[in-house]
Amino acid sequence: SRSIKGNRVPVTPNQVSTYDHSGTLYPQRKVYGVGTLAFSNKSFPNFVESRPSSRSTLNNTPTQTCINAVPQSHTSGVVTQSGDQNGEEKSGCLPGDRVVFAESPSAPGVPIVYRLPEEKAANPDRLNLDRRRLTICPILEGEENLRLLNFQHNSIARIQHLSSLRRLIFLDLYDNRIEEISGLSTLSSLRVLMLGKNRISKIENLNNLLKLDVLDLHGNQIKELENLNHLSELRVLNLAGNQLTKACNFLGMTSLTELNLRRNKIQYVGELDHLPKLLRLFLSYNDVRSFESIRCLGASQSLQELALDGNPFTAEPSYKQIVIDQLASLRQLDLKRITEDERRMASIVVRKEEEKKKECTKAQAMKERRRMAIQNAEKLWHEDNKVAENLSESNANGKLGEFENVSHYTEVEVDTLRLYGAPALDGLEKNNNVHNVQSITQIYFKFIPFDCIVPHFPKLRVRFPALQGLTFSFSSISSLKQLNALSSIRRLDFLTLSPEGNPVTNFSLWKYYLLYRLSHFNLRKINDVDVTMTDTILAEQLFSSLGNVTLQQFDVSRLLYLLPDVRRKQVLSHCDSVEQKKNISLKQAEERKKAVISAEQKNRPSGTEALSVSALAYPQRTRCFSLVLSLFL
Amino acid sequence: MVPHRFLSDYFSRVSQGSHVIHQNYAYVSVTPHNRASFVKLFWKCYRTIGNHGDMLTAKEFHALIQLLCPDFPFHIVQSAARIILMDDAVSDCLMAFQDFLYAFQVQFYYSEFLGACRELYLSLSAGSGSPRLEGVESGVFLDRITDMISNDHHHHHPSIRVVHRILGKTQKASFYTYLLGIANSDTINASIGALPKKGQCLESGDGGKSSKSP
Repeated sequence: SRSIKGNRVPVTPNQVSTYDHSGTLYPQRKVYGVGTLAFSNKSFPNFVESRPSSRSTLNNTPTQTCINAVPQSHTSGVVTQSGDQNGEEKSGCLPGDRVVFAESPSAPGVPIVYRLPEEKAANPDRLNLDRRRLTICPILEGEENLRLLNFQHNSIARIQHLSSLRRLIFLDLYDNRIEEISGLSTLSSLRVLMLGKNRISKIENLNNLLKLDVLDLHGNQIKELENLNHLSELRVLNLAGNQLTKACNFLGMTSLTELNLRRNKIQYVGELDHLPKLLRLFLSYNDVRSFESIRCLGASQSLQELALDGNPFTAEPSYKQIVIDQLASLRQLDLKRITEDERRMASIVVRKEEEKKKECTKAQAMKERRRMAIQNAEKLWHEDNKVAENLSESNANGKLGEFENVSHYTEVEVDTLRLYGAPALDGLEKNNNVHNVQSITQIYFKFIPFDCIVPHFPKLRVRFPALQGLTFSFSSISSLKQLNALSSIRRLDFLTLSPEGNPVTNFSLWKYYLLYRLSHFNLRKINDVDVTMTDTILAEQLFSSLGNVTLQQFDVSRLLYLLPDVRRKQVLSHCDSVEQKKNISLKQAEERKKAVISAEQKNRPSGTEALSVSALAYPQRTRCFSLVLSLFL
Repeated sequence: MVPHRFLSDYFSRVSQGSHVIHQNYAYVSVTPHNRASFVKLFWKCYRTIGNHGDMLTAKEFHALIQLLCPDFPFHIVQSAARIILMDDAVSDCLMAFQDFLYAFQVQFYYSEFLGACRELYLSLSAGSGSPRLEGVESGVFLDRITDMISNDHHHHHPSIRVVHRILGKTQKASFYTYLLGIANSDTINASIGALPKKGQCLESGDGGKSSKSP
């Protein structure tokens, strides 16, 4: 017997399976094999049963009817014959075809086949010419009654000389060298056409074969499914092992029940609603990537069996569930039965997957929104500061899209409120974004000019009573005088001025000035570094003269102006009471000033800044003093 | 607060020089007296920093100045820094407090005069070879300055004798050695009257002539 690997079919008649050119075995498709021309009821139930016009000889044997093929060596013009193959003849098989090859002088090179009258009488309607090394279709002399014709395993390149076989029902040209479907136009009775394992690249010239029931074109080079729309009686179509990239164009093929598209390059299946009777669809080893490409299968109410193994789609985690969920009539998937339980579970799994995907895309969209907003905030900050070198992050991608106008972002992370971009400061006013103001202990400002944040300082503690720390990143803090504004926050434990975007951090004394100016805060950490006693003492040493000189040089009214209303009244009343008690007049400026200073010191609540320090104010509008005084010069 | 008392308080502070704190630049720079008062104020507020030995950049000095006068312009501080650093001023160069103090004093107090000197210097050096390195003829420069001083009655200037002494030291003078000479001159410092002698500026005490004892 010949080896299976060589894609030859074994000679032993018991093995009756179809092989396509990859050698894969499909046990259920018992069509025929070498040595036998067998019709199992299973493959062609309708063919055998519902075709009353078919010859009775076909219906005789319920299982198999064999024609023993006798391979013969053959050279043109030489008649040779060998007897039946030894030991391989099964009982019940008819004797092999004995044919005579001849040649006509009018058509040189074209063999003519004669059958002896006895042979013809024994098998008038079937002729087996497989493995006769034919390179041309021979002329068949006097075989007009032929119904079954077998040309398997030859080297025929063109279909010819069949025009007289008007009664032909079964034509087998499996394993030849046919390049083009042609020469079939008179065979209007043809029911089964086997053209597997040839070199056909286009489906055509089947126009008159309106009774075609089975069409086998596996193992060819066909790229497109076409010119089959008139085959309204076609039930089985085999296009396995071709080069199809999509499966559609099924209009008119209303009888199709089985469609074999294995081992193509199919990425898309469509128009399955034109196949109302489709029961079995084989799409194994194609290029289907997702359910979307085969969505039309969901519309089929007839499909019972489906094979999708070997497609990329099967790698998806819920592949099976999606298919089962969408195809309500399906009974078998990838050769495995679908159970009731599986069906029930399938829809649940599919819903869950969909929800997960939705969550994921939502999360991604949010992330993208955030990224864009912060990027825009950064861009604006850089424009304001005219810093060109740091534009590496804000790339010129141009992917602005719908988020183009949003250049701020607010988010809350556990106990930290983060604000990006100046417009985000609105979040400090309204109650929009921050749900639980009680839990916020840190506020983080990024890409917001410091001068924009300053007006919000006084209300910050009111709004966020648990506030402990502030961080300023890219806030354009460039001068020590800006640090004075931090005093209006009134109380803070942690303060961070990040080196990025805050030039003031380049000054060697900035921390000490901060400690001096905000000494009443008792800051615990600056830029995440603990504030030590040494630091505090040094700060006092460096800047106390500043405070003292200031105090010396301010006049009384200006000093009083520095105090908030309540305290001012307190101090003044204290001075008045001193004046009364000690019965002295505090008319002299110096004495009055001394009294005010000492009164202020006595009555200062803890955590309030010293008078000398509060003189160091965040520069705002020009004081009216200097305007008035400049008139006197 | 009675008006006459307010005004008397104000004028006494003016005479003491304690009127310039936390005023804007237009006020602080309007008279020589205000300028000198401001220099003195700067010295008093920050001499402890000088004591501590920290060396600071021009920008940082400027930030400290702005704590006292919020809109004080940077170019004056920058010009003062150039005097010390001999025009090689990279913005991050560090300077000692007393060096900066005296340079700042003359640059601020005599800013118009020094600007005019610079014009003269540039016009002189335009003719000659490599003025940066060698400078210009001191004598010629001096003559030009003298002429300018006698003709210009608007702006105040240091005494001609001192300028003469500074430029008489060398044959050629570069602009920055000239400026440095002015900054370090005790005579000029005394005539401004805001700061003590250079060696004594880090000691506590008041210094200068127009001050009351603390």
